[in-house]
Amino acid sequence: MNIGYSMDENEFVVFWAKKCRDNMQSCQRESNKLVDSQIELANAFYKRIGRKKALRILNNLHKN
Amino acid sequence: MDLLVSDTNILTKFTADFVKVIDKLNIKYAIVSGFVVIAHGRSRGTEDIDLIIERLSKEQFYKLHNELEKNEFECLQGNNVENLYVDYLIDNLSLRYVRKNEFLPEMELKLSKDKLDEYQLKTRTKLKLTNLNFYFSTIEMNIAFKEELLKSGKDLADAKHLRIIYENKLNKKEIENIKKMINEYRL
Repeated sequence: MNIGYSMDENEFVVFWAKKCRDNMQSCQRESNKLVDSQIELANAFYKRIGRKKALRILNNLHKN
Repeated sequence: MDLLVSDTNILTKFTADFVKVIDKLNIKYAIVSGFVVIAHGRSRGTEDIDLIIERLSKEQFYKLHNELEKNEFECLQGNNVENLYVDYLIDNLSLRYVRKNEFLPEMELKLSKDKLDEYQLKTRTKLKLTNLNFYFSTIEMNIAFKEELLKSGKDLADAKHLRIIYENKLNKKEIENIKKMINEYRL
């Protein structure tokens, strides 16, 4: 989304929260797309490297 | 309040299937932390859902674990129910369940461990704005945890998001009370 200037992270949080307050369903649709893409990509990666390696990575991530 | 299929995503469908098993066994639960904020439109990724359930006996947990397996979930820490109960749940560690043959999302399941968790379960609520038919810990609870205990950049941004969404509806006194409880039981 081009809003004409560059926001820092904090400004974006405020901008997005206000957008959600005004139109929650539209924000939910956008964030659902983001979460789905992330999970689908990660699952494809973990399937490609195999269960043993995948579980090792996931367990290490969980420890951290 | 029911979900429209077009509005659900992977996390929501996963949670709905998982909670269906919990509900069937009449186990009291509350969804806490990241998913609460994402369900309010916050634009950030996550791969897990945190769920607190009431304390279970070993036998009750066996029943839950078996029912989850029957419903195509598996526990990433193994399937020896005795070990899962003793080495994880009783030690206040989470069990991570995924759909069989998938890796993500994960359901991080924990037993209620102290008075604060009991209070989270007691005050759990359905949040109309999410349009989801799940029990969540209260908005005040999530803000207090993120501001007082978790405090990472991501958590503080989550709290800010909720504060803006619920600007005029927050019980500020309750947030302060919960922060006091966090200091008493967790810090």
